[in-house]
Amino acid sequence: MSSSGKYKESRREFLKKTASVGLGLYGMMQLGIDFPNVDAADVESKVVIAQDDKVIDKQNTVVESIVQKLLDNALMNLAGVKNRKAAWSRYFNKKDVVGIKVNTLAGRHMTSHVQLVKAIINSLKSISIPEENIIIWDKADNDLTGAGYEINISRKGVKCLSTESTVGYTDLIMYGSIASCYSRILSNCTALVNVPVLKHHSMAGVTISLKNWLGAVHNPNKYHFDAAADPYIADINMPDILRKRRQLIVCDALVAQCNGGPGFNPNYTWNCNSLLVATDPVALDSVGTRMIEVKRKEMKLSSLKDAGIEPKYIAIAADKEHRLGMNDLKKIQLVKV
Amino acid sequence: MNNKLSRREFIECAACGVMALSLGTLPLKSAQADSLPDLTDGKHIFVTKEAMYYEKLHENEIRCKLCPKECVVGDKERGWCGVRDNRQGIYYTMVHSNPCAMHIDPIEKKPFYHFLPASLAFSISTAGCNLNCKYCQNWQISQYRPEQTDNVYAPPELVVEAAQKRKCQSIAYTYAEPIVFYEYMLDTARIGRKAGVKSVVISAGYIYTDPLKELCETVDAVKIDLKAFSDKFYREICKGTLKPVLDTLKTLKQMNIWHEIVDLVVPTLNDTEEEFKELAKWTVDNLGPDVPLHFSRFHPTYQLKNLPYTPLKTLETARQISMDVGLNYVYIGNVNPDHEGNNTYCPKCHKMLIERYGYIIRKNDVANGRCKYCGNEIPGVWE
Repeated sequence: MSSSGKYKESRREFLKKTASVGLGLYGMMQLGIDFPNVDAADVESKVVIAQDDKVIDKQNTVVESIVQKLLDNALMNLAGVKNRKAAWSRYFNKKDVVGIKVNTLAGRHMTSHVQLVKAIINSLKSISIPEENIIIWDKADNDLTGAGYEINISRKGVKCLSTESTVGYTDLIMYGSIASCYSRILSNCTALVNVPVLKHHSMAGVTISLKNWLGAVHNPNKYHFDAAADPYIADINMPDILRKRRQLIVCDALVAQCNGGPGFNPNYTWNCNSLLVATDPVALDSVGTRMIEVKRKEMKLSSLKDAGIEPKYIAIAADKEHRLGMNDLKKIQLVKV
Repeated sequence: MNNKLSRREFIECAACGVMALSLGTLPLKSAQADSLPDLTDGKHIFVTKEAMYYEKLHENEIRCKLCPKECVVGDKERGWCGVRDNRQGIYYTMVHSNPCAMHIDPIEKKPFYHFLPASLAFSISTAGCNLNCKYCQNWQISQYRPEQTDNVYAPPELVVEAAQKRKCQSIAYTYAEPIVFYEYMLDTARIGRKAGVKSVVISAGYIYTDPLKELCETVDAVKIDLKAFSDKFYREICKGTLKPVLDTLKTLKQMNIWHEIVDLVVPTLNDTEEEFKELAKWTVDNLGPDVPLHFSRFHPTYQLKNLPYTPLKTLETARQISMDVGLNYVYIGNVNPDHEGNNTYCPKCHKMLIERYGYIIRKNDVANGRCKYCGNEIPGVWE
């Protein structure tokens, strides 16, 4: 990515991409998603969807070996390289302190899966990032343990901790409509892996990568109401404490939920068996929203717009003031692997 | 937890008034869980109780009916106040018996100038607020969630006992916004009343009428922070609206609850002479001329660090305008402790009745609720 966030590629990469757009469209048809035909010359962002129907076994358990493969394949495609180390080295280096921000609010059944996070850690370790420099984190200990994570605040191994039980929050940071204190864990990290879950949110419409950072501030409750239409979520992503840190997004869509969120509601979940990977949170959220809309239609639910919770904040995040990424599906290269 | 504090020790600690906003070094006592699901984290939140005033909607959503925000809250989410939590369609208060601030204050600090002068108020607060004023002086508790503050386990009976032990004539629900710990306040006030300890509420008054009326059955006085006399100010600076606060004031009068009003004057935002006049006129017309009105000085804090302190002259102008409109008791706060605007004067004979130096009462010439000099009745709660 360029410093402006635009996706720029060489002639060779461009030709490869042109091919992958076609493959991508085929893949999207398999997923049941109706996406516009993207002219390769217009591509400004890239989202990779890695899917394998066997990633969740008959016991409803995520198969570690398959999720690892999905993750690494997705990242190699995103980076445009052919081996795992080269792919991960594109986004991280061995001196990084990497914060893996999971989403654990809804409990074990609708969470950033432990197996996926293990796979991310394996890949980070493969480029010589020491375990001690990897931090799995979320807002509260209760949420982490409830989702199956084991707290580790010792000096050995991968740390797993919550903001509220350890380092707390920064001083007040203001941007646009928001005034919040951010997790001090962010201050300790040089790079971030944002691991949201693909799900519906009754107030924001959807909660994917942009909204996952509400779990990093002390007062998310102040930004939920009218969250779909207001600039809060876009603004939360703006301060330097987030923008100045490299961010890879690995959205857990192994199990997704199209209604009744953000809590777990089995009536509206489906095994999507997918990971969505990108560096552009707006592009990823735009694609994720479309996937949720398709599922809602399939389940004969009203569209998010008709339900009064169209997630307009995604477009706000893409506007001239925010420039957090690309929300025009015609300019997003969508690749399925 | 290992660091348990005995009931006696807790009361001693509370009585010493040392449980300030930072309670991190104090040993905390763990709670007995009630029959509800355990939502506590064992460190900050000791008790959770089902909230009052909400209705269940579809798909585990609820609608809170406590305040005009009327939050519709999905499963696993919080209300705007940050202290009421939806768990599978049941709404819980996370702050019952979990105060984060506990002090013994002079009642004048609230400020109440016509309520038991020179008495002590056992003052408690929890985290959370249903507004978000950009100049909040207590934002580090009002805008935080209960998991983020250092709390102690203090059930209602313990608070009442602590207040009695320190000879506090009242319990004040204060600092942040007591409406958000409504159930805790209500339970404590009920037990306090039985024990002869009064209850006073220091609030922005952003509450629906039904819960307010229920509260009025058990409390003795309410101080309302009327943020401004402008809906625009409420919306832009406080994230609220004006009308519900005016409705609250009318209800307090109707319910015959002693009430005083504070208007914190913020330079350039709510400090025009027209607004002072409108506020005073509305007060006289709707509440009568005897409601004490306090104009309080703003100091730069939280999100409004770019504005200056309120000039003394502005406060004096506001006071004069209000008295000219017909209000009998208009005060100035957060200024020189010996400013004349701190004192109470008889509206009939104009003699000084209560002389204050900051929160200290230098003299009190109100006897049996009347002016000692001319016998004029002085409204308030005097004994």
